Formats: sequence, structure tokens, C-alpha cells
Amino acid sequence: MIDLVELQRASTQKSRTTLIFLSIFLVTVTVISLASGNFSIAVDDIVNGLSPLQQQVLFELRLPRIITAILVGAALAVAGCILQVLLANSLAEPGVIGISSFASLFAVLSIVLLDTVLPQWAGLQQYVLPLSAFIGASLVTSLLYQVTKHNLPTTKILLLGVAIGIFSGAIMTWLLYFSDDSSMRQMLYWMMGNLAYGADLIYIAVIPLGLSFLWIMRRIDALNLLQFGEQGAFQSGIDVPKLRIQLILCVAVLTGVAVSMAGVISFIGLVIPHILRILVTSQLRFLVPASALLGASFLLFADLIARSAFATAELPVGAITASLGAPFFIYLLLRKQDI
Amino acid sequence: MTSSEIIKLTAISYQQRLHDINVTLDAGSCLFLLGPNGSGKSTLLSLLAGHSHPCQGQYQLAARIITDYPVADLARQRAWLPQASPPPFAIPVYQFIALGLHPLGISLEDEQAGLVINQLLTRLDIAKLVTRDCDQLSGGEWQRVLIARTLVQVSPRLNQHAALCLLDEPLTGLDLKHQIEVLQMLKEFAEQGVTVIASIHDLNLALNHASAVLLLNAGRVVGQGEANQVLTVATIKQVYDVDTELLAVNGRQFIVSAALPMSV
Repeated sequence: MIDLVELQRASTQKSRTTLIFLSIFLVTVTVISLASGNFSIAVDDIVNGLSPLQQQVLFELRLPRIITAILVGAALAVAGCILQVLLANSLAEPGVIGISSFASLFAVLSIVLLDTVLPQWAGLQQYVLPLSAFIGASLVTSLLYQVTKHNLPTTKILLLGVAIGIFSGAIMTWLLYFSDDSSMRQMLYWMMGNLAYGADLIYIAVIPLGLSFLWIMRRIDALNLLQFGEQGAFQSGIDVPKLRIQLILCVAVLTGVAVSMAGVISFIGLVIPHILRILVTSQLRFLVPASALLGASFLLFADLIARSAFATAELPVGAITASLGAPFFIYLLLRKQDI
Repeated sequence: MTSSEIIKLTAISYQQRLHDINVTLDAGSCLFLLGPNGSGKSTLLSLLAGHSHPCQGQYQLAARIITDYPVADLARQRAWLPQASPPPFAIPVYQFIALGLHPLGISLEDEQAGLVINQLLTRLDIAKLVTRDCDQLSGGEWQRVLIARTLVQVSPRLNQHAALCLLDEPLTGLDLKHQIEVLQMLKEFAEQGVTVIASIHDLNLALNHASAVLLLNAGRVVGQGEANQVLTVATIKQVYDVDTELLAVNGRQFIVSAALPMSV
């Protein structure tokens, strides 16, 4: 007789240890990020007391940027997990299938609109921006979900997502062509992903991100059933249509908020859950929080490279994640026979 | 109508796939669905599971119209195994089987659940696979894991509401030994009062193991009753368009295809 309780306990223990390890890793990367940059702050400076300038750099520049990276990285990785459950496909990711780029298009449109048509509302930008990114993200997510309902093969869904991405890129190019210098910079920042400007939104972002995460963890058993197929979840007593709408909203909130803080940052939602699925398990009770932790560490690390690789200028962090993520994605495409 | 009537289908039609189905079943029946590809077996099972709803007609489960059941209540009354597709994600086999406990509101911590699952593991010969990830299994192994999860959900020892177990081609991909074991287990479930309805393709298994069969063709019921009365040479010719002979060996009957046409 197999002691299943013992097996379950051992697996829970392993998950817990991994989560603790990932948390320590995140703290380490955070500390390194705080300490590194063009303006050096050494450990003994912290012990001996910081100069006012050092304090300013640490608390007004680096810390907000680090919090932005943690929130955005966690949100995108969790959005990837949920999207994979929703589309029953481990290659789904908000950046790859056009959700992020459409959200950023909506964000840019709202900026243009506020600039030109409704300048008297410009003060509301920090609320309008995430909201319109959320609307853009929900439009694409529900479209893709509608499409999966018709049993389209994975390749078609991925291609559809890519086409949506190209389409929003094209509109963005039109907008670029007709824009002046300053808004052009802002748009480029949306298209390439950058963590330097998200700090204003931290207070607004924390609540929807936290609520989405809590909701996901509350429904985690239902999600575990759903990831093995819609019919199986239904026969286990899950109200699948309702759950799916809630998941779409969740993906849209997570992606919309992440995009409004940092623009388009691709592949985190693909790479992070995938590595954890391979190395540990697809049990969502573990996978979702682990993805949040590792996604945050990964984006923080990528941003560290982005701002310290070249002394003269900083790279957009989206370029770093895409350079790491795209080859990984190609590798997965070539390795998987069944997509 | 008797008090033990569990399923009552009245004049059911569904799109172009099922036409005018009238079936009643008593609790504890064990019914096998037969019929060629596309004859409506899966559609009928999906209707019985409450997943798709009939365009016309009425389906009553335990004297209550199926659409009146909340989804969660339905999950305690019946389990449904749709046709197997490979698992999209990997979790250990025992955790996958434990998903069958979810509708019952219990977990592996439950002592009785541990006993029932262990018994299923042994009988389905998957005990040595429990810690393996479910995407690392052969087709037949995965099929047995799926059966285990389904049976957990309507195990009378765990679930006093268990009434109906629906399986779509549970024997596909299984070798002969496991096919016979699964059939035996389904029979035992039926004896304990859980009505079992399963689609199968092997006419000889039906002939020798089934008490009752329902033969479908092009969405219509062609015959219902004892296997050896429904499966006649004439009916098989009509439904499957195959010439067969009935052989009797040691008092048992077998269907074999008639002598092949001589090669020219």
C-alpha cells in the first residue's frame, strides 16, 4: 500500500523549499540592484550612514525602479501561467500573442488623445493610462479565447496573436510618423519596454495586481482542474464559462497594469513558467507563486544588465528579455512535435 | 415508472447527430454503447454527462431534469471520462488521480480516499507509476490513470451520491488483460448501484462481458437489449456493412468476419 499522504507531504515540502529558495534569490538580486549602477553605493556606506545624495539615488531612483521591476516581472509571469491554462497551451504568453502590444497601443492612443483632444484631462493620465491598457488587453484576450472555443489548432492561435502584434505595431508606426519629438520618445518607450518611468504608478498598480493574485490563489484548485481540459473541469463541477471570463479579466488586469508601467516586455510569461514546469511541476499551487518570484527576479536581473551594460546609455529592458526569450521560444517550437 | 429508474431519455434529438432517442435505465445497470465511427456514441455520452444539451426532448437524471442540477451537484452524481487526449501539462500521477476527489470535497488526507485510490492503483496496475509525471506515460498507461480518476469520483465508498459513471471508449489502447480488468471493475461498480454506461468498439468483448448493449447507427438506436440478441449477423451487416459469422466455442459466442474474398 502506497502512503499517498506521505508523497503529498514530500511534494509540498519540496515546493515550499523551492519557494523559499526563490524568495532568497529575489532578495539577493534586489540587494545587488540597489547597490549597482553608475553611482556606486558600497556596503560600508550603508553601515556608516549615507550621504544625502546617496539617499536620494537609493530611495528616489533605484528603489522605485526596483519595485516597478518586481511588480511587472511577477505580473507578466503569472499572466503567462494563467494564459497557458486558459488556452490549454504551454506556448501562450501575453507578449507573443499580441496582448501586450495591443495594450500598449491602447495606452499610446490614450496619451495621444489626452494630448490633442482632451488636454484639460491631462491630469488624469495616470488613471486613464492603465485603464486603457487594460481595455486593450481584455479585447485581445477575449478574442483569442473566442477563437480557441472553435478548436483551432495551436499554430493558428499563435499566428493570430502574432498578426495582432504586427497590426498594433503598424498602427504605432503611423502614430510615430505623425507625432512630434517628445511624444515619439514616449511611444518608443512603450514599444520597447522600459522600467524607468513606471514609478508614478506603483501605488495605483499594487491593488489590482494584489487582488488578481489573491483571487487566482483562491481559485487554484479550479484552475488545476481546468488546465487538464474544459470537459474534465466541467465534469468535476467547475462552472467553466464563468471561470474563463474571470481568467480573461485576470490576464487583462495583470498584462494591462504591467504594460502601463513598463511598456511591452515579452517572453517573461513564457520562459519563467516553462522553466519551472520542466524543473519542478505544473501543480499550479506551486507554479503561480513560484512564477511570480522568479519572474520578478528575472526582470530585475535583465534591468540590471540594461542599465549597467553600457556606461554611456541604458538599453530598453524589453530588448534584453526578448534577446534571451526569443531563442528559448524558437528552441521550444523546434523541440515540440505536437503543436 | 419504477423507483429505481435512474435515466430517462425522451425523444432526444441533437443537431444532426442524434435522432429521437428514447432510453430508460434502472439504477445499477451496466450498458455498453456500440456503433460505427460517427454513430453518435460520444455525443450521447456528452448529453448524458450534461455537457451538451438536447435540441429536442427531455433528459431526466434521478427523476430530475438535467439542467436543473447545479454543476457542482452534478459532479457528485456522475463522472464522465471523455475520449482521452494527451495531458497538456505535467503533474505526478497520484496528484492527477486526486483531482477526482475535488468534487467530493475531500483530499488525500482522507483515510478512506487513500484506501480507495490504492485499490484502484493496484487493480489498474499503475501503482508503480504514481510518482511519474503524467506526460511521461504510454497511451495505455495514461488511459488507466484517466479511468482511475473517473472511478474515484463515483466510488460508492467515498461518495454516497454516486449514481452514474460515463466512459467514452475506456478500453482504447489497453491490452487484453487490462481490458478485462476494467470491464470487471465496471461490472462491480454497477453491482454496487452505480449505473455504468461505456462506449466500446470490440463486439466480442460486448458479447462476452456485457449484460446489456445499445447499438447506435447514424444517430438512431438500432437495438437495445442483451448483447447476443442485438448483435446478429443481419444487424451487423446492416450497421457496420461487414459480413460476419457467429461461432460458438465452449458455449460462448464469437463474431468473426466472414471468409475474405479470394485473392485473384
